[in-house]
Amino acid sequence: LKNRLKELRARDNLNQTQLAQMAKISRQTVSLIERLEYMPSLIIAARIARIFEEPIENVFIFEEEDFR
Amino acid sequence: MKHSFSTKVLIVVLLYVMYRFAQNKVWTNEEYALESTVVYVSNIVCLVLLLVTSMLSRKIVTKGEESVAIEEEDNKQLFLERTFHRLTFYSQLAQSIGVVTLIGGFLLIRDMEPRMLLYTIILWVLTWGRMARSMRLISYIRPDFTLPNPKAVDYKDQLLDCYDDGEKYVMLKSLHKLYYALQCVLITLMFVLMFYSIFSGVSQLFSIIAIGVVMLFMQLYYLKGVQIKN
Repeated sequence: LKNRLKELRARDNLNQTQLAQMAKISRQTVSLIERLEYMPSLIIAARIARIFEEPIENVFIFEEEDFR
Repeated sequence: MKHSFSTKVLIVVLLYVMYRFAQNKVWTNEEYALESTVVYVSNIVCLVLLLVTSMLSRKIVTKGEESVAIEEEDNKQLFLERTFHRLTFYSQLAQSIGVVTLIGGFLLIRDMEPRMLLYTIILWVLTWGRMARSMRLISYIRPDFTLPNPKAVDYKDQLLDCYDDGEKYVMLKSLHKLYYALQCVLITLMFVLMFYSIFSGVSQLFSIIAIGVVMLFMQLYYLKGVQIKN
């Protein structure tokens, strides 16, 4: 599962610490998600998507092989 | 960087004990010279680690209160997280060395050097105090992190719930590796003790059985935790 966190952060001028505070998670978790080392829970993914005012599927990119 | 009061006290104490060590005043009894030296050196190591943790705590407080530009915020946060990680590591190391020195010292020098044993106990208590104080510094790393009441019955569960999913995932991965590594270490240790018993003629059967019981407890506890319910 890929994501556009880094790109969206740059678009909205947010650093990892700010995003973490807004999503009520740690900066370490933001970093893990960006490095694709951790797949967030649905609630965290929804919170992040809401911060960027984007639907979840625009932030977290599902690929066909994820459904196989 | 200004040093805190506890750092200054620890530096003075450390210099004094090292001076005494250099003056060779530690061991008065020839028969117990080696044992006393080992306990004394362990205490010095513990004291050095306490000093390091005190300095790291100060670093966290100073950096945590510093205001930086938005583009520097991530670097500051990373610095705080890494420093806190080092602080936790050194605190736990001091605690482990403290307890080993205390038990070893009690067995080796309790009759000959009771005062040194008292210092060891004080040091061990200090390592616990340092650990508790270190935990409070987490508010600089995670301002939303509120430590649960230590008197709470489910303190451990509450503490775990304070971490977010990402942090729990990192912990889980590390604990999973530790579980398997510990089993290998304990089995190796049992074999080492078996050969030690054979070659030295000193039976280590009790230790081997104790390690076996610990291993059994570990496996049962783990399997109980992951058992399938319904």
